[in-house]
Amino acid sequence: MQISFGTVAFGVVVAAALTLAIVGSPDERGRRQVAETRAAAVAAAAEAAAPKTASADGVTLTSVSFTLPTSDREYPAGPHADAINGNCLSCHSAGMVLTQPELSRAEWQGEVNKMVKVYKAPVSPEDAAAVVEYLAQLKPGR
Amino acid sequence: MPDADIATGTTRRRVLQGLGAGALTLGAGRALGADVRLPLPSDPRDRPMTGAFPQKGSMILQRTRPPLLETPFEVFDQGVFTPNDRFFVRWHWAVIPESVDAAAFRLAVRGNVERPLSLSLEDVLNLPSVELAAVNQCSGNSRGLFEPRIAGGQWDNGAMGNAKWVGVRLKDVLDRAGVKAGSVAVRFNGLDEPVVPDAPDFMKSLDLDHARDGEVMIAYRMNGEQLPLLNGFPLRLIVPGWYSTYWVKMLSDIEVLDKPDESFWMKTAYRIPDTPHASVRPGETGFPTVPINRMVPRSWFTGLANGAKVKAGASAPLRGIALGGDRGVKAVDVSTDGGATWAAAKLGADEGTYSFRRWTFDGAAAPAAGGKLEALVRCTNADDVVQPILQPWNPGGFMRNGVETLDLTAA
Repeated sequence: MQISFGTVAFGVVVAAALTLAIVGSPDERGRRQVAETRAAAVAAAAEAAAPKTASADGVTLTSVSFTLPTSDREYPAGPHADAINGNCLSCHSAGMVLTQPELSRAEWQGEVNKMVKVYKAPVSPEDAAAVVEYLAQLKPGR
Repeated sequence: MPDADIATGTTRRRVLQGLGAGALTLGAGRALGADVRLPLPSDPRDRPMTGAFPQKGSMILQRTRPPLLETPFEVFDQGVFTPNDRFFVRWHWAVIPESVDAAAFRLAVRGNVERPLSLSLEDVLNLPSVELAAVNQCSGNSRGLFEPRIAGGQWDNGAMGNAKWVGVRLKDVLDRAGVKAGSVAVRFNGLDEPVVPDAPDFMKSLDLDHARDGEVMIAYRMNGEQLPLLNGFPLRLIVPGWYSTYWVKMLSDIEVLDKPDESFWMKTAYRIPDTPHASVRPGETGFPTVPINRMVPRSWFTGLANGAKVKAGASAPLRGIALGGDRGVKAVDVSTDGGATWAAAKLGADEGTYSFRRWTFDGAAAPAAGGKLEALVRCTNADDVVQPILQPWNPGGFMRNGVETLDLTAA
């Protein structure tokens, strides 16, 4: 798990504030120290907030950090919808299934077998049978 | 403890949903699928368009998680190179790093080598750089068009893109590590992981000779920029002329093997019939298979879509793109008599063996009295491999490359 730049920058600013609180002094020298410390903290925060890079040979690669969209789409209501919603949304969004053409029960059985046996989806035999039942009744796109 | 693991995946999903209440959650509270209608032979044909993915513009949403994003076909009419923000996206497993630290990232080179390496991005950037234009095409591009239909990603023709890639030769990296005698293959792994840890991690391998051919490269730039996260930032394997399945994204691990790769994604998945055109009859079993490999020639019409109206009595402005596959485009020909006779199209600039090439044709006369005009386009590559008129079929829905037809109306 990566620590985001925002987290690092926030940490630096908090550290700087603590430093200011500790260093704080009424006399002139103290004020100058505070100002210098504050400037250093701002510079450090800016540096920490700037994305880290790797550069050589005239090329710079800049760190990236994003949040990928997710989907809250559930399977259409119907018998055994609870089985497919409960077992089949962890690894892939429902769109994978709901864009499939109309497949035979045997083809759906094959897909569910692949998910369980090859891709190790932890689905009980009862739920797998219920999911196949649901899919065999599915009329995608209608 | 697979139950606990899948629960973790679910929890993570719910956490993301919580964070994304609204903008990041796709499809909340409305019917999906009215934005674009793909020309598939049967339902469901409708797909939403999405602009919600980082570093991506408007894309056809095939699947949110893990993302399958298709390039709208009109993009291929706009230039021979595909802009990074419109370049298709395809991931196998849902655990995709959302942050990559360019300073901390390391590429491991290990296995049957004299000197295992842990390369920083600066180390990679300091190696001699090479540039190459190459089409990256999903093995299953156009799967949705097969008849009989085939389970899998239901792509139209947009699971492909062309880019100028800059990077370092894989050969140079392997030479730095010192490949030991007796090595036969090189396996590639990226930062993505399955949600269920027992599931087969996505890895691909190439024969050692192929890996050392001097063309296979590790790219860090795509069309003049660093790679978008979803196209594999910071490093991606480029295997010119071969299907995208080998172009491992977020490449972080290179392992030299002293025996053939027996792992799932080579031995079981992405296999094609070992027959001419990888063709079998629907339902046929018992044929030998091999790992999918070289791309085959293709060509498409761009600009005009099926059903478009053209001016009666004038030359129809036919144009498009072609791809030679693992060899350059030698010729693009157009037929307006159902394939009985063919005439050469004019080829655009040659951007390299593995690039798209533009073509134009001004010899298709739309009937003066109006009516239908049917045009076919066909690419021949430098090895004289020609697109087949009749589309072969295989159970994976791979390697589609039949001749494309354009139906126009003259008025």
